[in-house]
Amino acid sequence: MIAALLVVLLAQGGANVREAPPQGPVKTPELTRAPVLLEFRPAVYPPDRLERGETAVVVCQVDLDAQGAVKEVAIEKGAALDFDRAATEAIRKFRFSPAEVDGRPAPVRIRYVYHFVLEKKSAPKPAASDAGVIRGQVVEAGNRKPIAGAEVLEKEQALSVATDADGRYQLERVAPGARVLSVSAPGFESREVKVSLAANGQAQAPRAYLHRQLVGDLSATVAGEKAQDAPTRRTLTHDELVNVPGAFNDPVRVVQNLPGLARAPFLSGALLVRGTPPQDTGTYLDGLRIPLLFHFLGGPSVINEQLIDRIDFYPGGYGAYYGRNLTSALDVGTRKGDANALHGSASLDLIEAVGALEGPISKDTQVEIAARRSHVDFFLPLFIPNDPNRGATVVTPIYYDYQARADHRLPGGDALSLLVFGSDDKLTVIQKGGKRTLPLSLDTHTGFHRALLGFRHAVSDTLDLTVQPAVGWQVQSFAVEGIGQGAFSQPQSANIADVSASVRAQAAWRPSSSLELRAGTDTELDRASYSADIQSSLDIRNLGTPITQKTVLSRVQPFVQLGEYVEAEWKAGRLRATLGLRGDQIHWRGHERAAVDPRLWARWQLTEATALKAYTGLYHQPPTPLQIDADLGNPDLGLEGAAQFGTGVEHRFSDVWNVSAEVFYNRRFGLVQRVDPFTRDGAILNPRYQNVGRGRSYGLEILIRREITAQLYGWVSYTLSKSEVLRVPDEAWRAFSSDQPHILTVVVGYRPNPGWELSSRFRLVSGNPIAPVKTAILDADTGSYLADFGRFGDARSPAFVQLDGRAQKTWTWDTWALSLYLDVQNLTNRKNEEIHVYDYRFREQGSISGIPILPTLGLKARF
Amino acid sequence: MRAVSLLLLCAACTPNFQSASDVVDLRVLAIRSDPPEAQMDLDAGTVQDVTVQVLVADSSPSLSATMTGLLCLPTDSLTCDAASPFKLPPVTQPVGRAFSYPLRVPPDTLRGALANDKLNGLGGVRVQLQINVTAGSPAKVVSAEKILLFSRNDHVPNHVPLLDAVDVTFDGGAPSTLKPGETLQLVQGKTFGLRPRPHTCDAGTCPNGIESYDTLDLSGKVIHLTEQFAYSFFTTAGAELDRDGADEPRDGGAPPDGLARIDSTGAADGGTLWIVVRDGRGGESWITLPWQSN
Repeated sequence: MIAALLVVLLAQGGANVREAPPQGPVKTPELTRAPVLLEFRPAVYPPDRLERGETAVVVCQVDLDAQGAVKEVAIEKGAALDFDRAATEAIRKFRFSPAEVDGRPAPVRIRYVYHFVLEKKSAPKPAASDAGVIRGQVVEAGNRKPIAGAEVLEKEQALSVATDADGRYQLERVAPGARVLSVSAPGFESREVKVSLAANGQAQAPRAYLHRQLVGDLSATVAGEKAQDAPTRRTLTHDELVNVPGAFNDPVRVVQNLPGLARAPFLSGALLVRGTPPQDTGTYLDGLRIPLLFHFLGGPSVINEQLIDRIDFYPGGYGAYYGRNLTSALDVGTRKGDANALHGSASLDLIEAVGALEGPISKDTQVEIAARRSHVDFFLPLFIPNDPNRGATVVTPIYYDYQARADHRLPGGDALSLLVFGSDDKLTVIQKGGKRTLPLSLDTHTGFHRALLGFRHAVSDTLDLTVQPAVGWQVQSFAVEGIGQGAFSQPQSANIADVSASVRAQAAWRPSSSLELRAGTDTELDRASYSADIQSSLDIRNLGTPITQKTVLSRVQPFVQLGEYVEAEWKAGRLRATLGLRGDQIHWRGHERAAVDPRLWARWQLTEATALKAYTGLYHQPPTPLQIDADLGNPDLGLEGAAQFGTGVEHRFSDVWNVSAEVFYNRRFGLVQRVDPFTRDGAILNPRYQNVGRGRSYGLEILIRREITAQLYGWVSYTLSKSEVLRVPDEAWRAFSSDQPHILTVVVGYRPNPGWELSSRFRLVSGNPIAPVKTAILDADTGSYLADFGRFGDARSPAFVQLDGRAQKTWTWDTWALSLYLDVQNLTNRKNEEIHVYDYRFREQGSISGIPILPTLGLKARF
Repeated sequence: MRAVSLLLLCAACTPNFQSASDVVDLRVLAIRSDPPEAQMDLDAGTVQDVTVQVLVADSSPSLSATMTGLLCLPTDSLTCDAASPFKLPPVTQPVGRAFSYPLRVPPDTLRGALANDKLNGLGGVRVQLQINVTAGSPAKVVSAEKILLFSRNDHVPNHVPLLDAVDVTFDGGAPSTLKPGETLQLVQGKTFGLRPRPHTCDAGTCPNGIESYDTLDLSGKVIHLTEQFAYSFFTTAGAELDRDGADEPRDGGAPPDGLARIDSTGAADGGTLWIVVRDGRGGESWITLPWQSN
C-alpha cells in the first residue's frame, strides 16, 4: 500500500557557502559508508486522503547519530499537514545502519523522500520449486552514479526490493520466464527492464539508467563537529558554483563574490582581501603553497574545476596552520577520483579545451587526471590584421595545466595520496617588416610543476598524524626588444629558475572530549637561480632627467623558511576557544629573520541558532625575492607584520537561511616601500626599499545566504570598509589603491528542472580612489607634463554597476550528458570606469571602461 | 587569455583626447638652455652664462604673448614660489618669434642649491627655471619648467643636440631633405614620412650627434652611458601627425616611412611643423618648418 524509498547519494558537495562549522585544513571528512535502512515503519495513511485516492510526496531531512538512530526529522518540502505529520512520525521510528566518515561511525544528515501512493494489486506468488534470482544495478543516467534505495518491482508477482548503497539489488523467488522489472526512485523517471529467467536460474538484468526528474542532489552531508581551524572560514564547494555568472566555469573565481574581497579590475583574478594587495594573501593547493592561482591575461585558475572539491577561504584571523601571509589564505582542496566506475568529462569553448578522467584502478586505489590547453593560438592569427604599415605580427599565447591525483587506502584505515600538478604560460609577440614601425619582439614564460605526497595515519582513536612532503620546480623568464621608450627598447632579458622542497607535518591529539592539541611544522626550501640583462632607470628629481643604465646580474639565492606551530582547542559548554602560537624563521644569503605570532579566537554558542565569535592575532610575511636582491632591492629588509582583530555573530534562521556579520580591524606595519636615495654623514645611500610603510583597514562584512535546495540558491554579500596606507613616514595617509567602501554582490541561481539552470549576479561597488589634479606643468627636460596631484583618495571613479547572467541547458542520455552554456558578462553593456585617464596636459579627463557585454559560449560533455 | 580577446574588442576604449602634437592654442613646446651643462667654479666665484630660448607656439603666430620667468631651488611640484627673489623680466612679442633670456646665475645661488641638495651635488648643481607665458583675452597662462645644470670643469660637458634637416619621404621612396625654414609641401590625401637628421659632432666624435659620457651612479661607481635622443612632433591645424614622439633608433636607421608621418587635412592652406629633439640629459633644441597644402 505504501511505498517508501530511501535515497542516499554520496554526492561530492552540498552547500556552497558555509560559515560554520569549519573543517580540518588538510583533508575534508569523507563519507565512506552510507547509512542503510534496517527497519522500516509504515506511515499511517490519512484516512480521508486515502478515501479520495490522493497521493503525496514528503521530502524530509533526517539527522542520524553515530549509531544510526534517528535524532531529528525536519520537513524540507511538505505536501500537507496530515501527510507531513504521518511521514515524520513514521521516520522517527526507522532504524539505520551506522554511517561512517573516514572509516569511523559518525553522525550524518540524509534526505528521505516519503511517497504516499495507492496500493497495487498483488499477483499470486510462484511455486518456490522453480523460482530463480535476478540481480542488477540501478544508476543515474548521464553520470552512472549508483542510486541507493531505488525500488525494483516485479509487477506480476508483486515482488520488490530496494537497491543498496552501490545501487545493486537481488530479487529472489522470481518465477522463471520473461520478466519485466519496474525501476523507480524518488526524483527520477521510472523505467522498465526486461530480463529472461530460467527455472531455478540466476539472471543478470541490464543496468537500469534512471533519468533525473527533480532537480537537486539528494545528498548525505556530514553534520558532525570538526576541528575548528579558524574563526571565519568561508567554504565553497564545487557542484553549483561553476554556474555562477562571470566565473567561466571556474569555482576559484567565485571567491571574489564573498565579503571582504574588493572587486578586481577587468577580468583579473587578483585577491584583494580586506583592503590589502594580492601578495598579502597566500594561495594553497591541498595545503601546499602555489606560486600563482590563475593563468595570464585574465585566464582561468591553474586547477581544473573537475578536481576541485572545495575552496576554503580565510579572510582574516585564521589559525597557526597557515603562516607567512599578512592578511588571508585561500586553500583549494582537490577530491579523490570516483571509487566505483570510470568517469570523464570534456569541455570546449573558443579559448580552451579541457579533459578529465577518474576511476578506480583497484579495490583500494582510485585516480583522477585532468588537463587543459588553450587553443586560441590556432585562430588568433585570423583576427590580427595584416597591416603593411605595422608589419607582420605574430601573437602566440599558449597556456596549459595538468593535475593527477592517486589515492590509496592502506590497511588499518591509513591513507596515502599523490598529487602531481603543473601549469605553463607562454606568450610570444613578434612584429617586423612594417613600413612605419621598427621590429619588436616579446617572449615571456611562466611555469611551475609540483608533486605532493600525503600520508595520514591514525595512531589511535585520539591521535592522528599527517605528513605532506613536496618537491617543485618553477621558471619565469622574459626577453624583449624594441618595446619601451629610450634605452628600454634595447634587448632585455631575465630568467629565474627555482627548485623547491617542502614538508608539512601535523599531529592532532584529543586527550579528552573538551580538548584537542595540534602541533605541526611548515618548512619550505628554495634555491632560486637568477640571471638578468636589463635596463634600470634612476628617476630622481634631484638628478634631473632620468638616466637609464644596463644592469647585468647572475646569482643563486637560497631561501629557507622554517615554520612550526602549536594549537590548543578547548571546549567548555557553549564556549570554544583556541590558542595558537606560530614561529617562523626565514633565511636568505647572510640574513636571518624570525617572528613569533600568537593567535587566539573564541566562539560562544549563545543558542542552537546563534553564535558569537572574536579573534586576535599577529601575522608576518617575508619580503619578495626581488625586494631582497642585492642589485635591485635591499637584502637588509625585515619582515612585514600585521595585527588582526575581529568579532562577529552568526545566526541560522532556518535550514536554508543564515546570516553572518563580522567587524574587523587590520593594522599593518613594517611594510616594504620604495624609497628615494638620501645622504647620511656625507655619504649617499640608496637602499631602494625599506620597511617604513604602514597600513590600516577596518570594516563590516555581512553574508546573507540561502543554502542550496532543490531549485533555488544564492547569497547577498555586503562589505563596508576603509583601507589606507602610509607609504613613508613623512607623507600623509592615503587610500589603498583598491579601497572600495561599499561592495554589494547578489548571486541567485534557479533550476526549474534538471535540464536547465539559470543564474545571475549583480554587483554594486564604490569606484576606486583617484587623486585630483591641482595643476600641471610642462617638464621641458622630458617633454611631458607633470601634474601636482592632490591626496590620493580625495576623489573617486564612478560606482561600478554590473549585471551578469548565465543559462545552461543539459541533455542527458543513458551513459553521458551534454551541456551547453551561455555566460554573459555585463548584460546591460554598461560602461564602468576601470582606469581614470587625463589628456597629455591634464586638462581633460576620461575613462577607460571595463569589459563591454561579453558572451561566452561553451560545451561540456561528461560520462 | 580572455583579455587577448578583449583587446581586440576594446581597441578604441581610450578616450579621444586632443593629441599632444596638435597645436590648437597657446603652448610652450620646449626650453633650450645653451650650454645645457654650464661650468662653475664656486671657489673662484665664477659661473658660465646661460642663454635660455623658449619655443612658444599658438595656432595664430601673430598672437602677442608675454613671457616671465622665475628661478628657484628644485621642487617636487616643479613650480617656483611666486615670491622667489629671482624674477626674470617680462618679454612681450608675437609667439612666432623667438623668446629668450640671457642668464647669469650668482654663485651664492648655486651654493644655496648645493647646500639644499640631498645628494650633495652628485652629477652637478641644479637650479629650477619656471617660465610663464600669458596671451589672449581673457588672459591665458601656460607654464613650463627646466632644470639648469651647473658642473665643475672636470669633464667634457654636455652639448646641445642639434637638428640639421628633416628627410621627407613618400611611400618609402627616396627622401628629399628640408633645411630649417624651408617649406614642406603637403598634398591632401598623401602621407609623408618625417625623419629628423641630427647634427654630427665635429670630427665625427658623436655620429648622429649622440654623445657618450661618464657619470656616477648612486653607489658611487663610474658608469659609461650613451645619450638616447627623443623627438617630439608638433603641427598647427590643417595637418595631422600620426604620433607625438619617437626615439632615435640605436643603429641610426629608421622605418622606410620615417619616424613620424604627416597628412594634410585640408582645413588650412598652410601652417608650421616643429620637431624638438632631447638628448635625455637636459640638452634640447628644435627645427621649424613651414608647410603648405594644395
